[in-house]
Amino acid sequence: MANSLPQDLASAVERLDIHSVIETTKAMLKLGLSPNDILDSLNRGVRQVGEKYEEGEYFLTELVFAGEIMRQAIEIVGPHLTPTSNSPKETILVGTVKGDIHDLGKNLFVMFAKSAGFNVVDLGVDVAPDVFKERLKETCARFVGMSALMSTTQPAMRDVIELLKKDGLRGKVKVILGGAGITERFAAEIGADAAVTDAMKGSKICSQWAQELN
Amino acid sequence: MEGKVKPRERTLAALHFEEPDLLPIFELAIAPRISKSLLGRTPLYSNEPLILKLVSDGVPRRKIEDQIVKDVCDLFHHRLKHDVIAAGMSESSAGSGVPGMVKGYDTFLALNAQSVRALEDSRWEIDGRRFRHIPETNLMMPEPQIAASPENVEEYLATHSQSKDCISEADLYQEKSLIESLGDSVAILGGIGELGTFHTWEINHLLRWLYTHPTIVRKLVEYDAIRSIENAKVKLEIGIDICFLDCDWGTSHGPFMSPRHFKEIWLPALKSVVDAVHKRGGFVIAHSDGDIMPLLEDIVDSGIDGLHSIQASAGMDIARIKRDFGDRISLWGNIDIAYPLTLGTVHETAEATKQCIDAASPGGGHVLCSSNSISQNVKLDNYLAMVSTARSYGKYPISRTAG
Repeated sequence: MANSLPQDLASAVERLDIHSVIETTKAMLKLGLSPNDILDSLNRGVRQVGEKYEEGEYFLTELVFAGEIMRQAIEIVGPHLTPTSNSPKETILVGTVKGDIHDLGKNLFVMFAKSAGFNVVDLGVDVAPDVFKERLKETCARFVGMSALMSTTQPAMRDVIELLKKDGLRGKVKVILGGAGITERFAAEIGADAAVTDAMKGSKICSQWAQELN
Repeated sequence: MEGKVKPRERTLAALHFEEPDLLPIFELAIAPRISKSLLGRTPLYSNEPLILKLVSDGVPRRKIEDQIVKDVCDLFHHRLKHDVIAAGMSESSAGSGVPGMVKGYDTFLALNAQSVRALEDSRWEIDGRRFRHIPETNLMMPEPQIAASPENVEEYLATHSQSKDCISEADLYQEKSLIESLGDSVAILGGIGELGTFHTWEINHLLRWLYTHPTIVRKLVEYDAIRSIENAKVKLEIGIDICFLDCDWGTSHGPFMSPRHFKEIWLPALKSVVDAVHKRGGFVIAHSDGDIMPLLEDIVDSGIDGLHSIQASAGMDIARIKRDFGDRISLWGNIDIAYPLTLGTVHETAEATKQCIDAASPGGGHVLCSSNSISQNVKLDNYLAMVSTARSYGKYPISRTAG
């Protein structure tokens, strides 16, 4: 039974069975299974949820609920986690740009990026360009993700990139844009590296970049 | 270009799936930067920061509203010669006050407030509550933000009668003034409320609660529906023609909710609004950005009279919708705000307008507009190209293109 629990846990996340996720997580801890392996199973389940979303079987509601499931599961397993040699690949700095208060897509991106093994620094919403710059310097993140939902707030993404260029930081990071109206054309115009309209794709692009860098 | 038929009749023909003389034109809103260029003066219409300042300076409300009405008449009727004009979105100011569930209010709060005081850094005190104005989105964010919980939402809904959260006829000065000014020459469209307007609601909670507290979501949506019905009654009574219901169910990748959730919770609420409006002789246009194709069959089954905005950049194919549902709902759209209106050229905008007309206009049932509203980043020349192309190319009879 212990052998099947990691897969059972991932499957429970995938089918959004919060009760089974909680019970299986507790059971695995009680059996002495590695908390880091438990986290891997949870993350695998989240990625499977993302695949179902991409296939059109799940919708945003299901992604948000998956986030809630993860939150509750990590409350249980989190205190038992230990640093491993399999350290996070990269740090991603992410925020919704100045003037924009929407965070749904950003929050989902954070969930997928964490499940992919990234260390994510979430700056929240309505983030001024200066804050992106200063936090980038503090964290030495190599990836920056900016989210904006509305056409009126998208220009703030350009402001951030210009500020990074001015401070000589632009060449040290990869920049990905996310949001409903974001296009590759807009990304190219303002000097970003990628543009996505869904969080799962954004996470995959960052994973690809991480592979290329390492 | 003047046609043979009055704009109002042209619009009603479209709603009845008849071919008028010209394709009707509409726009939900135009940002101040654009309307300033068109009017040759700084408008009060849609200019929330200026309205806030004037109210806080003690300028009488009626004087402000008179200028807003003049701006709307001059802009949409005299300058642009639109066939349908949106008259005040006053329902936003009357609610909803559900704690923690509204991230940002439209700034109609100022005109209906007893006291408005300017604070520092784009902050305002309105009737004792603090807000921060966000110019990029024109929303007023309440401060501090209250954390929503199922418990405080439940309590609010239990203690607030919907009728208190609805507009009264006294709130409809702008609508009445517009109807009086424009008579029956244009069709008047009025906002009646929201049915899950995700750009202002605390969407993270709403979506999570669909699984954890579905009853609360149902109650919120029903609350919205009842408010919308009450608002519609008042507005239809004073003479508006078309009720505009702000829904916003879609993202660029699909609907927020699954078709199952939509059918269980939103569809009955939508149907109740549509039935109530139809009973009073009105029309319902449902607005949603994003990709709502998985929900469309149910949305059409609710009995709505039209769908706005049909966002092409989210994959909404107006030709396909025309083919599948064009005899049941009128189509309001769909020249894309991002491209071509903001990022494209005049030529690209004109071509996109022609393609839209070819796809959606044959046989009537189409009102041309953008895929949302004319925001401040839209190129003025592109917008004017859209309007002029609509007038020159949108003359009935319009042949159907192949495919």
